[in-house]
Amino acid sequence: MKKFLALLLCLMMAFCLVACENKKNNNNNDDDDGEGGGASKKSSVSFYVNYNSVKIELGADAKAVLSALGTPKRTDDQGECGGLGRVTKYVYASLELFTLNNGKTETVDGIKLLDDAVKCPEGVGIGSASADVLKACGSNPTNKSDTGITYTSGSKNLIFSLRDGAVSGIEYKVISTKK
Amino acid sequence: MKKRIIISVAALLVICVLLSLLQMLVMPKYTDNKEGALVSEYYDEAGDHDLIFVGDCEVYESFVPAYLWEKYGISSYVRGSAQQLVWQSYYLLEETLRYETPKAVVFNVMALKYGEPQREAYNRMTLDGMRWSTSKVGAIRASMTEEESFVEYVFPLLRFHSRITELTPDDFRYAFRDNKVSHSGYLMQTGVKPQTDFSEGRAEVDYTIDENAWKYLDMMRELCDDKGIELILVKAPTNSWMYWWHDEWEAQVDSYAERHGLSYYNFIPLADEMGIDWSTDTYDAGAHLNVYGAEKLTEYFGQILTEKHGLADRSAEAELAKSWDARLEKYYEERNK
Repeated sequence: MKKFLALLLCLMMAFCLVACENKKNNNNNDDDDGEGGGASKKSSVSFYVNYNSVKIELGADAKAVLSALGTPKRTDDQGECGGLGRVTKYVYASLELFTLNNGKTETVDGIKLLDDAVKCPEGVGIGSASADVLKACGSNPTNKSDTGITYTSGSKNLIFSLRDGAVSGIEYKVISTKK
Repeated sequence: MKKRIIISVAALLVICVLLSLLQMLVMPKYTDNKEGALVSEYYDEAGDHDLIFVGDCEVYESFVPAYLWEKYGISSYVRGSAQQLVWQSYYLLEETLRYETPKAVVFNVMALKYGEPQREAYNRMTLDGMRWSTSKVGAIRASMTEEESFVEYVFPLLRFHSRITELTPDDFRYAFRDNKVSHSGYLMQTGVKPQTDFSEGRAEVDYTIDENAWKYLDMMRELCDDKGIELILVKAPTNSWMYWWHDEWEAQVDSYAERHGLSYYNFIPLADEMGIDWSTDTYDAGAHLNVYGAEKLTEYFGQILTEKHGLADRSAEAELAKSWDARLEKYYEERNK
């Protein structure tokens, strides 16, 4: 009888531990910088910009970046539904920086270029021709239409908005999809 | 031999009871993130509603059933939850129709932007509160991210056992009873934080609404058709940079509504007309309405529901009125605190 109960308890504990192990494994996958997004979601573009000699990279710790950039012109923050995090927008002269604070860490969640004073490391910026974007960033973007060109690597995205064949907006953005 | 069997069964029962108690203790109680407690509250008030709202935060922060009753005598309930995805709205509606058959269902279209499961934390806020049924099973299967497993929804202890080291007094207080947070599904916010930034939202990789989202909207429409219920599409008047409603999405929803003969109300351009003041009617800088803004929207929409959708004033029905009087009293108690 005692052996039976001991066996039962052992089985249940093992069951719980297995669940924990699975969760840990999956968490590790989440932490891999989003680069494991599958072969179809690889890109050779760089997911950072240099602004006032500060390198701003998607997914990087926001504290150091914000400190290096200095005081923004203004900020605005909005919470995610259900209190799961806050997104803050820091507005500088030529770009907007978005950070995501999940209560433990604050990371760079997005960068929106506001004018042609800042260019992508590939050399294109607002006003560039769409053909130049394809030439500089690669001719096989993840998405391409008359209104936009997107390059994706894992959860990181570089989105060019187009108007009349020219770049009208540039945004770097983290989009986490986990299915 | 018989004695041994009895002891074994008794031992098993004791273990099951202990594990159940442990599970109740470690399950999140959502006393801080009240949104997680919304779904389970429906069952206490289920039945006799002429109007059901389904959707994300833009329904449970925008439409006030108590106020709709007070102004128009329309009996309604909001089955909303944080980042409720279209398939979750479908299964919640399917489940709701086991309890009652409303005359109309209102779905807020913001969730159409998502074509696939997003985050476990949001899934939990919607799914854990549902009672077990084939609808819940369907909702779980449609919602799970890769890192989730079905068995963890059946036995949440497997998922939340690590909370045993971080239990708070609320975990004990609400282990066996619910912490009621809503007013017929409406989550009240009385704070004021003006919207000062009216800039456009962030770019999207692809503005095409995903086929999976359309699929579940189709299913919702067909479900309503089968039951003789009118499906109404709405977009709440909020439009902040964080939750921006893109013109490309608007065009697709507009076209869908026209194709299927559905009424669709985008309240964004009507905010001025209904008197919403973004310096006083939002509690989080424009992302959501506070109670003052929600009342304005509810009053505006109530008139549309009465005049164009034939939802009747039932305030003369004594039993129903008595039930709503009690709900109204609680509503104003919190509103005027």
